[in-house]
Amino acid sequence: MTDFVLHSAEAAAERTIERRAMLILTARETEALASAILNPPNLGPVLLEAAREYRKKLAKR
Amino acid sequence: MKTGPSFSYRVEPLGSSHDRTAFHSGVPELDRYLHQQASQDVRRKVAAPFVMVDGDGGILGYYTLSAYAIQLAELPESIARQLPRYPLLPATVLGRLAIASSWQGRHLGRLLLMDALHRSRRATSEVASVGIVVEALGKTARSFYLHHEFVPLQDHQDKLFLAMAAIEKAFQAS
Repeated sequence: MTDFVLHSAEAAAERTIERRAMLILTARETEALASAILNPPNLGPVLLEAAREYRKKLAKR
Repeated sequence: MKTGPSFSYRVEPLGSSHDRTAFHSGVPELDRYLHQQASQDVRRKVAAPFVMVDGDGGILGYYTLSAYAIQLAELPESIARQLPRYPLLPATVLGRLAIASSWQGRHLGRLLLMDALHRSRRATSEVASVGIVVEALGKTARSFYLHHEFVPLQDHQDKLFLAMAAIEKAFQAS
């Protein structure tokens, strides 16, 4: 297939997804998501540090 | 921080005063979006683009947010019992995030990501969201989100998730 055809197909697929604005999960994804929502694991250091840095730099302006 | 003390920038909704065409991230798809489609998305309310600008209003980076519905699969009764009985869960999509090529390597991507998380979290006081779904195009993007504690969705190759509860924890503790 030419790049053009591939690109058009991709773009069309993207538009379709955007129009539906919906993500359909499989069973194991549903379980993983449910556990992330119900029992969020303890945060690692990266997100905490990033939030701290963000507050210092941007949030207080 | 390499950017120095005199460096100042802010993040604001994309408006007509921003020079979108001067923005180049090195990823054609992300540049094309800002040049050609972002303003239309603003008009149609499909996505909300936010830009990080310097003191002169030049665009250093951007991201987009929109609302999303997550449709769950049938769950075993033991888990289903713990979840609210909604067939669809509301979520937020971080559809695109890009930094201008001349500003890459200065941790602006991380600041922009945190701005997106912060904004999404603030919005949950008005519109509920269980978390953020990102679309990571390419290896670099994927490892960037993994590094920032997003969890991959096993059956959607490019998508990762971060629970709003985790985002709240991060900002409460900081």
